[in-house]
Amino acid sequence: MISRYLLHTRLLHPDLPNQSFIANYRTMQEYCSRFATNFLKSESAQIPVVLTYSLNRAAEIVKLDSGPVLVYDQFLGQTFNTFHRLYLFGEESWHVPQTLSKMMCEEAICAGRTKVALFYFALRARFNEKARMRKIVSDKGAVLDVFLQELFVFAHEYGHFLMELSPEFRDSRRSAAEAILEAPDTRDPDETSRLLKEKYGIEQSPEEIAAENAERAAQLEAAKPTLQDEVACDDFALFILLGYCKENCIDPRKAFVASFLALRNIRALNYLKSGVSQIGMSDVDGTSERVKLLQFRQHLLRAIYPLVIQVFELEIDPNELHHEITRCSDQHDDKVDNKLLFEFLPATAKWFSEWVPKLAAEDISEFDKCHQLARAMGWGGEEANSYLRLDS
Amino acid sequence: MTTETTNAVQIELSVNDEEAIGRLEKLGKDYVLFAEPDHFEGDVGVLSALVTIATATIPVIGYIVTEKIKSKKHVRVKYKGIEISGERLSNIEAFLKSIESDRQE
Repeated sequence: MISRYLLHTRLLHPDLPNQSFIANYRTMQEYCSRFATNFLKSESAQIPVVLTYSLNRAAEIVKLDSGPVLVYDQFLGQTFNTFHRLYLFGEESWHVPQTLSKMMCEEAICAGRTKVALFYFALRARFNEKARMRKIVSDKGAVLDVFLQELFVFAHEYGHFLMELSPEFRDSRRSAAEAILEAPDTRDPDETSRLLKEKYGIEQSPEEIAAENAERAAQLEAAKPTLQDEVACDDFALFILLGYCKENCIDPRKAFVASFLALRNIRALNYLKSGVSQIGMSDVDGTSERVKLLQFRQHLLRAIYPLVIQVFELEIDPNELHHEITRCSDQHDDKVDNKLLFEFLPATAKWFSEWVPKLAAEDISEFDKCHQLARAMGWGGEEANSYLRLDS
Repeated sequence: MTTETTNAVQIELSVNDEEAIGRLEKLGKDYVLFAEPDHFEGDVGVLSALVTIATATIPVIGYIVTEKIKSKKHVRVKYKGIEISGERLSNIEAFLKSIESDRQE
């Protein structure tokens, strides 16, 4: 059943997931399932985990008649790797377009937008001859960073499964989520106004910022039903990261940084997805409902770091961690988000509108041409393998 | 290696869309595989139906998609992992008839 589901819902790579990654994913599965068995005192707290490799790069829990299955996508892991390379090593002016043109092409294929896919395919070719960014594989610290970000996503999905399985677990997670969602916004409008001017040269009065904060609070209130379980599982995933770091003698600050960057990178991916749906159709600003919800999740999780430090009795100064996360946020803005939102998307959207003739309605969705482009890039063959069971 | 001899399309609906889900349920388990995907990005409250493309199912899919578009309710259709949108979504029955015989061997 899961094989049929994957074959018909994803653009699969002809190869099975890479053997060199499988060990990592087995580690994640073993760690999460060990926690589940210990917490729930039950061997039945085991979820089948399958590893797939698809252009859709989606991690999900799929609830079938036969029971839930956690699907993790190797290509999502590679996406984290790509964003982390940009974050660490994206120095040259061409690194962002070289990397993101490929990702936009891939997202456009999945969205069925042929002309957008071909446009970014061609754009990527422009930068192909330029020197590539350094690879992460040679940097053990960076390899660990990416592993922890992936573990965050993996554990988040595992959290959803456990919430289905155990009413006790579900109730405890939802209580935690309620507390997180109810926590007051302590951002000071005067301080925010000062920082905007200092860092970005943006003039915005404290009164305007306070009004924006109030609007954001109203949006958060409206989004609470959607956010509740997601926030619960983000909190659980951070808990898993901290447990993993403790067991493996890893600095626990890496867990906080990984949880922060994982959400930022998923948000960056969704900027691209929004860009694909907007290009040639409306103003391209990368925003969407999903992006807003990811933004909320990221802020809410960050807000509880001091409390988590206290609960876990970690020897971390909350102020120092705050400064470290701020530094990571600034670096991610500089190397990824700002380049993506304020340079790459607007510039390429403008070129698209200049180079590509006015779109006719039938050009907007051309499944067969998208599929041919996917095949040319190595995805979606009819012989495609669908998945690998990690516990086999 | 996994082989598959029938062709199917994925339809995504709101879990609360009892009317559309009911129509799909009537097609029977031989034609429809239901799943509730829960993606990392959220997308809460979504039901996915994998529907075999066949003479019996095409009109039902066409009706559901047309109704959802008209009433501006949530519907997404994907084929082989690629989203169907725009004109092709509005004329989904014609598209499905054109791929009905496109079987995977």
